[in-house]
Amino acid sequence: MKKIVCLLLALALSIAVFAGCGGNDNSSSGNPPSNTSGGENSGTQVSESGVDISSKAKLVMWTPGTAPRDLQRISGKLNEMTQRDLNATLEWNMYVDVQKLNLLLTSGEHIDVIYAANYQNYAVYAAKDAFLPLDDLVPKVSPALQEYVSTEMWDATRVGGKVYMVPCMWEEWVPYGFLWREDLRKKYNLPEISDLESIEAYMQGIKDNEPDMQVTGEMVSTYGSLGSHFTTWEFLDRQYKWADFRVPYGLYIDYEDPTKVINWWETEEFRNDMKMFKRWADAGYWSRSALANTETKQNAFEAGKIACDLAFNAPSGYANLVSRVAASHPDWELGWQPHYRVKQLATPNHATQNGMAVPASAEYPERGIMLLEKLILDEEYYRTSQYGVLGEDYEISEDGYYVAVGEPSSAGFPREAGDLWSTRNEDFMLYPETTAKVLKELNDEFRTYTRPNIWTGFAEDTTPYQTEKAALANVITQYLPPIQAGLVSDVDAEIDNLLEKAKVAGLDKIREEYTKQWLAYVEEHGLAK
Amino acid sequence: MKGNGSKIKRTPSNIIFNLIAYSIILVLTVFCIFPLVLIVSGSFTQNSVLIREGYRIWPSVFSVASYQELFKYPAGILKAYGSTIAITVIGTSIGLFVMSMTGYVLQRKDFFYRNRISFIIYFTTIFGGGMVPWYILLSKYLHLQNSYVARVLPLLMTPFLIILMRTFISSSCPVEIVESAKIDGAGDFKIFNSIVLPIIGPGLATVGLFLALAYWNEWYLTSLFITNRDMYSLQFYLYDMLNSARFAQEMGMYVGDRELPSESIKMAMVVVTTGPIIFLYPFVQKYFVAGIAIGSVKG
Repeated sequence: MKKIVCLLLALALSIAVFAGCGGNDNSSSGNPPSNTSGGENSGTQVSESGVDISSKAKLVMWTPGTAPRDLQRISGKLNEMTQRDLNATLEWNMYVDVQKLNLLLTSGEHIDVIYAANYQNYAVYAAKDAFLPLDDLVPKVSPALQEYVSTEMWDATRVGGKVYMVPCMWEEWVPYGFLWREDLRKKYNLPEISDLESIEAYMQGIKDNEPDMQVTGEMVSTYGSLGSHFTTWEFLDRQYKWADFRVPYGLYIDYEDPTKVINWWETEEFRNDMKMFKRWADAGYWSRSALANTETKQNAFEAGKIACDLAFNAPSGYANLVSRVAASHPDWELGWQPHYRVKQLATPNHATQNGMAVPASAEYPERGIMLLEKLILDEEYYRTSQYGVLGEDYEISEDGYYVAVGEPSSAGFPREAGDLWSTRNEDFMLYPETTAKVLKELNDEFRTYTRPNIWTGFAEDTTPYQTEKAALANVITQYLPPIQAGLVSDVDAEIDNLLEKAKVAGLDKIREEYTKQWLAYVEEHGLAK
Repeated sequence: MKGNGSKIKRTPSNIIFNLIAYSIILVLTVFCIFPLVLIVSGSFTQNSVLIREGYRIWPSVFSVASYQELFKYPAGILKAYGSTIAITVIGTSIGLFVMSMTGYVLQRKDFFYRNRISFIIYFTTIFGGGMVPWYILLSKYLHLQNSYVARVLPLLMTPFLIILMRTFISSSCPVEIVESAKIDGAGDFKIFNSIVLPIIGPGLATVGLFLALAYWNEWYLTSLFITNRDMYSLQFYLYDMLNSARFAQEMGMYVGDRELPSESIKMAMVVVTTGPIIFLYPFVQKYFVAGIAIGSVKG
């Protein structure tokens, strides 16, 4: 009996010790600050805009993605600065998955500043009052920030008439484009890449001359609740001036006239495009088992397994690829033709693609906004939060380029590792040399024919057709990729079959409701021509 | 068990049965081992070769580069290892202790409320408060963020394992033994300690293995409650590494110049995380088999 009691006692003690370890490791975790009386600061501290910051605050910021190894160190540096300027300590955390974000916002945890974006349901959270409206807060606390963000950008973030995020003012385009090996094109004397014929000629040339290589590595990719598509679909973006190729349910919204909503799957163009893909598939430009391919196109391309990519994403990805290939395959030459260039229409990311919001559970919303102002408009804060410590993590070359200290793979805080995409500011931004050349050149080009993004700000409300949508996604996943991959014997018959199955799933109802919502959005934002 | 083979006559049908049985098991074994071999060989292959030529049983270009890369900054991975081993050991010991006690009490016929309490425990396996309230309880009321307790506590009382334990104890430990011990003057703790515990060895091994595996493979709790990198569990460390940058890249955003982990590094990581726990099986297996067998005959 005694033994048991001893054992229990020991157990209880060890649990207590154990709990103690955990707690002390991070004494600041989640607890509200014990007192905010500010006894140490006898004089009243007031910020430039007249906000009382005499009481000590504790700011908590969350950004998405994987925490870099040295996040704590950089967060500590920023913490020193916020203590100096804002009389607040700073805790910077990162979340990896969206479910965690959901918990953070619904559980009422103490968070003062958090990343928000349309693809992370910004509009939904805003409509549910998970964020604080900023219409009055920002002008009061930070006139500079209010000034810095343009009126159009503020307006584009409105949900139900109110602003819930500080959008990013750094313009970003993420087009798809045709990626090819310029060295192979020259080697086999193939025509220069410009139109569809030249692309076909290039692919045929590779097929004829490089028996060991695959021409492309197209594959099936899942687009969230839209169902799966074969990636050739993204290639079509070069041919159409649609509002966005991601417009769902086989609809086509004309960029020039957004009130025009077309049932694209039922058009002759769609059939012709699919027949073109069938021709390519029959010619063997992608493997017969492409529908089961799981290898990313980028990996395959870099390993020299495929010779082109019909829809390679983002100019920055291309810039990175160029610098990596320069190291691994110095004899290669690359070419990339953005789809934007072909159709002479570029649309930047929507205002809500990247932003910072103040959750409703914030304890220090005013100082949260002040922190944002610093992160965006103060060079010292900006560079520290994006690049780390000068001399330890990065250097600035004579030409003003970003140079990482040490090897890239060993960096504890690589460039922009904190995923603070939403505070990017071109004025303080540093580019690595190779990226700068490619990226800047492309961005400058896009700037010449860019026009506002009209589609991604639209928040679809799927509640009226939740069931139909799920059923349709199944139909799409099952019947559409083989058609897009041209791996069917009779394209027309398969498309008829797809349409029939989609109709049974409720396509008409979805389209009707979606179109209604879209037209209301067009009306609200004055997009109709 | 000993000498069973010699007592059974080797009739032709017996031999045929054995042949079929062994060949089926052999095929199944190959199915189980094959992916593992591919992973191990993949981890020792140069990344570019892996992409170009695919996985092979034996690496065509042998390389330990991925392991070098992985252990270039060993601190993170070693800390994850340390905390996962410690939590597996501590969690399993405490869990076994409390669950065997619960199981024992719940099967005692003289415990009046045993059925009601069993039902309450069982009930939680079907109905729960849901994810968000659970998260709020642990984070806002118990303040378990960034605490190792958050990685131990939620798994300590697993309803399924308690029920397993209860059934096991009631089937392997007759009431008569307990009663006779009581007549001899033993108290409840004495009975549990000296009589019940030694009898339920196989049960402890079975439940212990389940529990140890649960702790070893735990990543979800870490993802919810731990933000301090030094406190990551091993599996979450892996998850985190594999997810890095992919998340942003899928969004088609400019993510700077971060390197994505290569295919062979992923494989090396899998080898490193599965390694130790695999060695637990041979030690526990004999109890494991006995445990299932005893339960099946008498229960």
